[in-house]
Amino acid sequence: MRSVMYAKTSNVSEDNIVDFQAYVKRKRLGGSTGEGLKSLKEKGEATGEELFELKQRVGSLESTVKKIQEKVDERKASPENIYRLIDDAAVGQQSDNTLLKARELLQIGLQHLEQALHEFPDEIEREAKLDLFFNNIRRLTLIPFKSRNFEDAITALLVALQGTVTEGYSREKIIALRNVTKVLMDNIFMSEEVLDKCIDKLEESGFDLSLPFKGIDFYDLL
Amino acid sequence: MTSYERVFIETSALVDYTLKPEYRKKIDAILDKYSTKTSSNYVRMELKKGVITYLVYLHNKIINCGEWSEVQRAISKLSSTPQKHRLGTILEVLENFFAEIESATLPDIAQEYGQITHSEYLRRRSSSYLRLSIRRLWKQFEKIVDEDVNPMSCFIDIKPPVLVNGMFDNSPRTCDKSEFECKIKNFFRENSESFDRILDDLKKISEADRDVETKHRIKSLKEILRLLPYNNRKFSNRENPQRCWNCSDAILAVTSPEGAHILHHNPQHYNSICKSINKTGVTY
Repeated sequence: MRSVMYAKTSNVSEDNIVDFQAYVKRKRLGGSTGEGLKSLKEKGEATGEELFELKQRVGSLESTVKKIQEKVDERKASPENIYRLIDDAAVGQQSDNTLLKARELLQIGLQHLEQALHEFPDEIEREAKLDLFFNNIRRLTLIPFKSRNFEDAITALLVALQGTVTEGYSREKIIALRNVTKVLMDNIFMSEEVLDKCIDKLEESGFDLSLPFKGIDFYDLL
Repeated sequence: MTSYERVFIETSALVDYTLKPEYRKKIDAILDKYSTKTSSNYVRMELKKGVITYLVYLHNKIINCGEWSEVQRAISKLSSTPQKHRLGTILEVLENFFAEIESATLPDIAQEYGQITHSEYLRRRSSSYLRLSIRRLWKQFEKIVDEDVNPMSCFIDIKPPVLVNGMFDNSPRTCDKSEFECKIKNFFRENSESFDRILDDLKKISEADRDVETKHRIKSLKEILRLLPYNNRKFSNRENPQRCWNCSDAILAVTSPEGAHILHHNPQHYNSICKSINKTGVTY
């Protein structure tokens, strides 16, 4: 807490820090902010005007500290911090910005899928949401990821969606897309097992992951 | 719907089921009729030394080449074989498929993460798709096969290709145990009657009607059957791999359990073999 309070941020000026440190010294005489100020006044160490100005500055600093603390708490729970615990080396290679962008695109995509399920009977609305989801997955392919399994899961989604773009989506397929998207959001550094589960979910719901090979005869390669 | 007890899935059927969208539903409809799906480790050996080897080659070539055009050039420089043409076609379909997706993608994110070239996009997506296909092909065996019949104890510890620093390593492609002598000769001895009948019927096909594969099969069957009376004359898949692989359709047909229908996509070869040993083939 102390280190955070003395941290220099864009919202905390050097003057404020110096004054605040001086104030803290004085505050040791009392308990709460109000009591500290009252004690200074009683001992004649500050005029009423100075105390008023000091009170305003303390109030502003306390508000800044609160904001900083909120940001720290937020950061503790951010995806990149969670992933760092799981795969420190891999996260070290992947920028936080990339991770956050991937999560953001997947989060928006997930919302499109939830809406498509919610409005399933409205065919036009449902298909429009799926087109938006597909667009987000295509955009993900432009971001460089270090995790090969994550890349392959995105490719599987891409193939699944490209194969359905002219056919229309069943509820089962949308649910599978939603489940896989949720898995992707939580597994940007994906294990082999999780990738297998994603592939299985897509195939079980009827997506065809062999579409790019349509028309190829493999007999010569046996 | 008529239901049957057992179906034996041979190599081409497994490949078609996994990699060919045209056949997936048809094969599913056939498999649904059977309570037990059987196959053989020999099928996995064929996958590893066949289709997977080619997909691994293509994947690693894409990773090694800095530009998509270099991959195309590398394939075009291969000897003129059906395999070379097939690899060229695979490269072409991958290019068309992912180029279509790329053209429909808004470039807004590229401004944030740097412009990705068309060549780089194709390399990244195609190599990823090849990894996905190799994984699916290998896992498919375990996913759909209930019973692995392996009377020759072929390559029991067979492993899928592994990724090392982004490149696939598909070795070993042969079974260590076959170095001196494997159980193929023994299997032929135990089933010599079936193999003799297959050979006799193949010989009845006129020279003009025999394709290259049939000619190789006749030659290899003759050579292996000729070894059987001699205990001191060894035979192994490692020493004589081509002899063994040339007989693969016959070996798989004989391996399939009694009463099982053989699911294949090769009537030209399987119809004759199945007829010789009174087995039923199913095609799609």
